[in-house]
Amino acid sequence: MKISVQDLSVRLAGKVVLDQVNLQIPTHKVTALIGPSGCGKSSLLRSFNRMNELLDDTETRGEVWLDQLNIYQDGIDLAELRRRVGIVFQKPNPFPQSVYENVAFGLRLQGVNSPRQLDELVEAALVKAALWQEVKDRLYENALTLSGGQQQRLVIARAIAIEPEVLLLDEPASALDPISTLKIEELIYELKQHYTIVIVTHNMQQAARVSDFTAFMNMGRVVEFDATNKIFTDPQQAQTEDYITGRFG
Amino acid sequence: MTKPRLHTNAWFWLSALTSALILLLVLLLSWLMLQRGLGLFWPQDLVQFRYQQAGENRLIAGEVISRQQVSVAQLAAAGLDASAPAERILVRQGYLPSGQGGYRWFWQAQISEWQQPPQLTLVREQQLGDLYALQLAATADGYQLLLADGHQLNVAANQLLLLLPTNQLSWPAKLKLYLKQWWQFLSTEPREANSAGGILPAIVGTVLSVLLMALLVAPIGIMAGIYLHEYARDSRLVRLVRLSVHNLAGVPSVVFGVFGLGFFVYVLGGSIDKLFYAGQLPQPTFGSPGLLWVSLTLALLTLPVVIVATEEGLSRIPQSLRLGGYALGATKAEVLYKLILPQARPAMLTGLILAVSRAAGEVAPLIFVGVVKYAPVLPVSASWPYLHLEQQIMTLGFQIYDVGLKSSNADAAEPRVFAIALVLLLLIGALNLLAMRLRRHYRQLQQRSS
Repeated sequence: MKISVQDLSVRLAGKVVLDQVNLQIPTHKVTALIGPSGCGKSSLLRSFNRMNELLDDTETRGEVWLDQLNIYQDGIDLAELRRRVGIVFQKPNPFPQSVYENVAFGLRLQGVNSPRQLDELVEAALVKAALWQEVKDRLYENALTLSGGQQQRLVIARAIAIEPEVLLLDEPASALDPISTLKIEELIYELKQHYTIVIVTHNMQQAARVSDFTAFMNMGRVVEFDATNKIFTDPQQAQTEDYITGRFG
Repeated sequence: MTKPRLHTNAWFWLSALTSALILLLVLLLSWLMLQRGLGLFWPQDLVQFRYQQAGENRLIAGEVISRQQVSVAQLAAAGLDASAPAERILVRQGYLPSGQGGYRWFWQAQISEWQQPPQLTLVREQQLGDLYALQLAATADGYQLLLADGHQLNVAANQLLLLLPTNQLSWPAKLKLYLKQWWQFLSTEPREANSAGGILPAIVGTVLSVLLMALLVAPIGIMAGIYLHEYARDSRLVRLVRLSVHNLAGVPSVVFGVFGLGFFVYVLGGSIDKLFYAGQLPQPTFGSPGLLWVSLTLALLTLPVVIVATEEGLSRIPQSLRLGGYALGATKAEVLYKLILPQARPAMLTGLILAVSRAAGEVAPLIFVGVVKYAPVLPVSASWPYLHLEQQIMTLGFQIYDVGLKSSNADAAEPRVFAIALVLLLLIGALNLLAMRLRRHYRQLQQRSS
């Protein structure tokens, strides 16, 4: 197990968004978090690298273990945690700099400064993110000139350039057109060889296509967690069945 | 029943009209400054005429400054025939030993023998100012002048600033002279209690005090803005600080002057004197008004502008940029310095531009802390310590006030006021242009790469 969540409760501005959640995320697999809006799946995702705390007035109880490390213990190095657990958001957010600098940003933070090494690592990350062919001739153009799908793959390239162990994807394709979505899904399939991936999605078909495991959440609790084909073909809970068949949510 | 509807068209025209009005005002301001200010140094034709009134019969020589139509009632009050040419002429006669020189209005009706003789010469002398010589004869060490009131006057060549038979000049020569006079205006010290000569010390004083102010206010204001926006939590204390900053912007500027005198000059300056210049006491060094205190007062005055601009610049940066930085394992400081500040730099520069423009035109507070009527010695020198922070300075804003309102010679002062105002306007324009170029440079830098 890569990530192990134990009795995690989160309050945002006094409102309970996660209530005593327990969950095991397996290594080098894709785990999908599904559920109706406001069920707490994004909050759960963000608690894996403590991004929740960037919002004001967050209160977290319980434990999240990354391998043998409780990431909510005192004195944890948040920057190091977030280097190990990368995150990609719903809306592409490239920095208003060149394509190259976007990918090099995290590397520079890690102290990689030699131009040759940077060139190699930037290219490797862009190749892994299936973007190299499209941007190799425009590495020094502003990243904001790329299309939405390209921007999102650039953000993924930026995240994997610093070799995280876990990649958190928060509805990574929901702002993109179908073709870009397909590319992102193919990318997720490729990336799971090397990374543990957790993806939040609203799209049931997408969850079924890309994930190995699925957790169905509702009202801040994990209702059911199992292998994806089990969840989608033979759910144990009536709530889960109602949701995936479209009767509720 | 239909309610009377408000038509969008009306709003469109109203807003368009007000915008046009503002544009018109700006154009009018520039045009007036240019027209009045630029005219000051154009060599006017010199005239000579005989003037007879109430038993007085004199030869007058000088420059026509302006002409005025006079109403019949005024003519009658002056005891003149109402059918005569209803005009009066303002003539600048220059210095006359008889004491009848200077500016004077003449009734057109009483003037005879109007002519523009080629030998009539404008003479500018170091002490006496401008003279109009009917005739000119070279002597051993200078010239002998024959003036309109019949006096002979000897002028030494080394006291001579200008010797000009204006009526003989061709158009290009006049243009050359015009430019030369502008150059002298910009590059020399004032004479005759600021009513003549140049304004170099005032230009240098304005530029120096404003640059020094920018140097002081930029780091403090930007740091404070960054702290308030990025680090401070929303507590009662922070709200109080923010409220004070906004209130500071509303304090009348003259109050800052009084504060500057009471705190900067007396307390700070006095302490500096006690600590470092004890040997020279009771003669104050920093304990009296001077350049440093002018700049500090201006910095205090413009601090809110810079803080507010910085805060607004920072708040315009999308949260997603910060999250993107944190997601890559950046610390708070790294996100701030590598992602946020480069984006906010143009906004900060804009704040600084506004501060500089405001500071360059301030007059009232500076009278308290070191700006004086006359300080011909520049606060910069070619030898150590190069910059004399304790020295009193002149500024363009104060010159306008002093020349315009305190001058003993209102007729001479008016065109000068416009010329100084024009210089101040151009100076602020140039500073703004510089800052705008800088801002564009940063923006391009940003777009090109990191």
